[in-house]
Amino acid sequence: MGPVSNLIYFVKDAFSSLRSNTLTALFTSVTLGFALALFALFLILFMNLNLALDNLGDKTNVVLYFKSPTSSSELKRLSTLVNAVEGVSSAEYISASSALGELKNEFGGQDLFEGIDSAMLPASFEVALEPEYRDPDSLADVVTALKRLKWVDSVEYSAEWATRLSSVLKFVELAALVFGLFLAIATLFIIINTIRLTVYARRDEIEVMRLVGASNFFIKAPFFIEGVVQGLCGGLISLGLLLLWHWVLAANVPDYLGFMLVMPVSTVTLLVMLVLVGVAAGVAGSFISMAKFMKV
Amino acid sequence: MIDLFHVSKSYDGSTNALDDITIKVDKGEFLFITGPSGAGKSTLLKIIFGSESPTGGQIIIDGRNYYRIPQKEIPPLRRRIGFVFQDFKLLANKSVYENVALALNVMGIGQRDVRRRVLRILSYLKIQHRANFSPMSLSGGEQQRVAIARALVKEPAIILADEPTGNLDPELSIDTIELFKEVNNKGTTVIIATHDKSLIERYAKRTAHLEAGRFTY
Repeated sequence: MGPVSNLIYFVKDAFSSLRSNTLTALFTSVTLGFALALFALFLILFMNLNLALDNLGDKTNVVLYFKSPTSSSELKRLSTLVNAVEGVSSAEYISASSALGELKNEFGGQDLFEGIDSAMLPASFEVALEPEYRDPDSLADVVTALKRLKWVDSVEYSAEWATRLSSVLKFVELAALVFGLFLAIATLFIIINTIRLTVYARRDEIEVMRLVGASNFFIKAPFFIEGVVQGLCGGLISLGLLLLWHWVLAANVPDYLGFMLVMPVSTVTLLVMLVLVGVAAGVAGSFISMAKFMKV
Repeated sequence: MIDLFHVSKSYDGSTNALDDITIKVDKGEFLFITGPSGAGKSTLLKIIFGSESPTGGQIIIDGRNYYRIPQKEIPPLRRRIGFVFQDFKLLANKSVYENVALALNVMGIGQRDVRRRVLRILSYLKIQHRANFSPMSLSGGEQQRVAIARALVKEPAIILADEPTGNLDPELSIDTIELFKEVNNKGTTVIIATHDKSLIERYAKRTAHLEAGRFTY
């Protein structure tokens, strides 16, 4: 047999085995689908939570007040200097009048601020930091650098907020790592064990093939193809489950939790990833399970 | 063809399943290995077949020393040996045709040739009308014939049969041995392990008697 007719034989053999073991193959694919969906769900939730926490980091704002009155050319110069400080991602000029506007907006009533002159409020720069400079130590360094700039009167920032956010981020990352590891190991064991049972059910077939002189390649090839098919089905099932999860929750999620449902990647990318992991798990599971029966 | 020199086999290190076995089987020879259950007949066949490794001695098949056969050389060796197992070892989820064809498929033979050879051997053994049946729906005698068909279809140089008449009535037993005789007449070396004395007496063939892992002749 040439390579092509060999392949045709293996594919035929694999599909004939899948047909005669339909129920087992179906259970394996469904188990694979649920296991993959569970793990993917964890990753999606974790990525979204992490993103949300990172966004909270944007609130690690530093407000820089300067000695007024300052001419517009001096303001321009100051803005350049502030932006040049290491760790600063942007600096927005808030004039005294827009500061009053913001205040009115925030408290909702116009009456409250009747008679207040915008000149009473200081103008400022709201400085946003690069994510990697948001931890308490780096933040302190950035603030020291800002204080040294010419015209700067004072720099305000919340050290407590930065410290708390940093510790929350660290905790969430560690908890997710441990949980993810447990989940990955459990998923892997479920997949391997499920496939082991299907291979175990066909140990006689492997034994007979060994006894009539089949090479390892000849024995493994149909199992490899079956692993691919089951992995493929498992991947598709897991995508279906994830889309179902998304569809059911999307209609009922409160606004403030909406961010948790965001799919971090496109459906096509998700499909490709799930199918690839499914196929890899299916094939690896088959091979690991077969090793025991290859020594007749 | 097959030379065994001082072959021994021990499973637990103390009791020998085979003890200092030396025998030479020529090409085209017909040999009965006899002895009571547990004498080591099956172990001896398995060692020649490469499914058991001896703990001592040398095995030479066709001039090649097979003591401690490397894993990758086992499949080619088995393709040259047809083994008829006592429990047949037929696959229930495959048809009679597929069971027999498996022996040729593993050799990489084209499907047209496989079909021709399988149908020919099934017809020779008078079970062609059962080709599409599951072996499990067949009688013991028919299953035996399928097992023999699978061993013969690849036209092996050597046939090993472990108690091939163990599950058969006397009439079928004689038919089966007659079949092996025919194959032997065409030049195939045949080694049959059996404890059936009446068969051995009926056929005046070379006989080696095993008792507790040793040849007593």
